[in-house]
Amino acid sequence: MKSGAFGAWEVALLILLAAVIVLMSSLSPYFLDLYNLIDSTFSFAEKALIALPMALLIIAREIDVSVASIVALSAVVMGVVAESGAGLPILVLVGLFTGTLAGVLNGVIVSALGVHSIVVTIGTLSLYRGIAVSIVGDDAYTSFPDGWSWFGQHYLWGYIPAELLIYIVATVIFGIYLHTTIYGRRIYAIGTNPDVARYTGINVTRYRIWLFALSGLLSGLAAILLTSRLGSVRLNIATGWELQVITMVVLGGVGIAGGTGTIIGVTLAVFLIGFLTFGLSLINVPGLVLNIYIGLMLIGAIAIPHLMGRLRQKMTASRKDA
Amino acid sequence: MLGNLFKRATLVGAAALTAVTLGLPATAVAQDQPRYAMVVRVLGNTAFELARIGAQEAADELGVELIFTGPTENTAEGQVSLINSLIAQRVDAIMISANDATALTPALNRARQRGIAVVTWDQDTEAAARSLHIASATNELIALGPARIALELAGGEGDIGVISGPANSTTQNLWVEELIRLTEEEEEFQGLTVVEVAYGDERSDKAYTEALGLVSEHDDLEVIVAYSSIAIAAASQMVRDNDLIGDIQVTGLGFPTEMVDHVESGATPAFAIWNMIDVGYTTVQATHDLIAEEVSGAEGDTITASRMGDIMVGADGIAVMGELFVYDATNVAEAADIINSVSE
Repeated sequence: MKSGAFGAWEVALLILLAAVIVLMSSLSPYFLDLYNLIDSTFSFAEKALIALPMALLIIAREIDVSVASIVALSAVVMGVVAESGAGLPILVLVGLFTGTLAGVLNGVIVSALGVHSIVVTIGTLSLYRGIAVSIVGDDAYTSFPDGWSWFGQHYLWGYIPAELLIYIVATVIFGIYLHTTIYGRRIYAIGTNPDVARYTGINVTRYRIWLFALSGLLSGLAAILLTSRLGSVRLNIATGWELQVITMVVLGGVGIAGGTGTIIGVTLAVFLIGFLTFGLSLINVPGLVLNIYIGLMLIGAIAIPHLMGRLRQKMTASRKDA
Repeated sequence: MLGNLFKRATLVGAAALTAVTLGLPATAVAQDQPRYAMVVRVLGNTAFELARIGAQEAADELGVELIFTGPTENTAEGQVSLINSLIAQRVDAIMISANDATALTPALNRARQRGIAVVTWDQDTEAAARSLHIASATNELIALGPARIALELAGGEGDIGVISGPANSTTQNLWVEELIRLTEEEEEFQGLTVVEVAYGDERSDKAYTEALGLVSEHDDLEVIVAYSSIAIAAASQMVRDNDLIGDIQVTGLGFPTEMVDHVESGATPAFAIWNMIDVGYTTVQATHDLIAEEVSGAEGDTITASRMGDIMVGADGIAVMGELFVYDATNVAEAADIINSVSE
C-alpha cells in the first residue's frame, strides 16, 4: 500500500512537465507568457476538477465513465431551470444536486448489483446523455441569469480566473483528504483488497456510494463552470470528456488495479496534458495529432509500471538462485 | 532501486519528447506576414477541406499566412479552446464556421477586444460577436440557380416537374415555393410551367419512382428540377434507364462527385451547387478588406473579392456571395477529382 504523496512517478512527471515547458517555449514565442498560460487553464480546469474524484474512485478499484454524461445532464437541467427564470443560487444548487443524484444512483446500482462499475457506468453514460438529449433536443438553452458568467469568465484581482482558483482549492482539499486522513487510508485499503478491507471493519459499500456521489458532485460543479463559460447548453456539451479525465488520472500514476496513486501525480498530469495541448495548439498542430501523442503517453504510463514490476520479479528471482 | 526507476522514467520521458518533436510539422513562424486563422466546425469534413483550398488560394494572392484548424469533436468547447489559443498567438484574424450560435460569443468578444478581426462563414454566430458573415447564398439564390438552368434547357418555355426532399422539409419547401413564384411572377420565367411537385423523401428509390411518375403523367414534360442531391441523381438514372436522354432533361442541386456520370451521359446537361472553394476564397478576401479598413461590416459596404467580383454587405453585416456555381460537362470531372483528392 503506497500512500506517500511524492514518489518516483511524480518526479518523472515533473521532469516531463519541465521538458514540455522548455520545448514549447522554444517552439512558440507565445507559450512562455504568464497571461497566456493562465488563460490556457480554461481549456482543462473543468475536466481536471472531475479528475479528482475519478482518482479516488480508481484508487478504490472503481471507475465512473458516465462523468461527461452527468455534466451534460446537469447542464441541461440547469438550462431548463434557468429558462423558467430561477436565480443564481438556485441554479447552482440544481446543478450540484443533479450531478450528485446521478452519482449516488451510479453508486447504488454498483453496490446493489455487485457488478463492476465500468459496466454500470457505461450504461448510465448512455442513460444520462439520453435523458439530456431528449430534454434539449435540437435547441439550446441560453438564458442564464445576470452574473452567471462569473464562474467561468471572471478574473479575480484581474488575473486569476475564478475557475482556476476553484480547481486549486478543490485539489488542496482532495489532497489533504486522501493523504492525511483515516478516510484516505481506507480508500487505499479498499483498492488494495476490498475483502480484507471489509474484514477490518470498513463499510466498503458506504465508501463506494460516497465516492460515486463525489464524482457526481464535481461533475455538477464542472457543468456549472462550463455553462457559465459558454453561456449556452447544447446536446453535444462535454462530449468525450470521460476519456480525457481518465487519461489525466492514469497518466498521473493512479494504477488501474487500485490501491496506488497520488493527487500530486494527477495534478502534474493535468498540467502536463494541458500545457502540451496548449503548446501544440499554439503552433497549430491539429487535435488529431495531439490525440496520438496523448495516447502514446497513456500507453507508456500503463506499460512502464507493469514492466518495472516484471523486472523487479526477475531480479528477486535471480538473487534467490545465487 | 529508486535511483534506477528515476533514471528509466527520465529516459522514457526524453524518448516521448523526441517523438513529439519529430512528429511536428515544420511551421516556420513567418512573423512579418499577417496571419489569418480559418476555424472549421470539425476536422475531417470534405466541405471544409474544399473551403481550405479556396482560402489558401486567396491567402497566396494576398501574401497572407493561412492557419487552418478545427476541433476533433464538433463541440462549442472545442472551438472555444482553439479561439483562446489563436488569441494567445495574436493572429490578425479569426474566420470561423461556428458550431454554436451563442456559446462562442464570450471568446470571440475577447478576440475582438485584443484587436483581432472576426469574420464568420458558412454558419453564423450572433451578429454582435463578429464584424462580417459570408453566406454562400440565400434561399432565393439557391432556388434561382436550377431555375436558370431549367429555363435554358427548356428553350425559354415548357412544362417542368419538380422533385423535392421530404414534404415537411422547411428549407426545401422554401426553394420550391420560390421557383413557383418565379414562374408565376417574374417575366423572365413566365414561359415555364410547374406541372407537379413530387417528394422524393431523400431516398433514391422513392425519388426514382416519383421521377418516372412525372414522365408518364405529363406528356409535354421537358425538364425535371430536383432540389435534392439524391433526387437529381435518381432522376438522371431514371432518364438513362428509360432511354429518355434528350427528351427529358434533368437539373437541380447536386454534388460533382455523384454527378460526373450523369452529366457525361447527357441526362443532366448542367446542375448547380454552392461552391465551398469560393466560400473559402471570398472569406479570406473579405477579411483582408476588413483589416485594411476598406469595409467595416456596415450595410452597403462593398467587398472587393478579386476573382469573385464585388460583393455587397447587407443587413446585420451579412454578405451574400451570389448565385450558385454551375457545373456542366466542361468542369464537373475536374471538380469531382479535386473533391475526391481532399476527401482521401
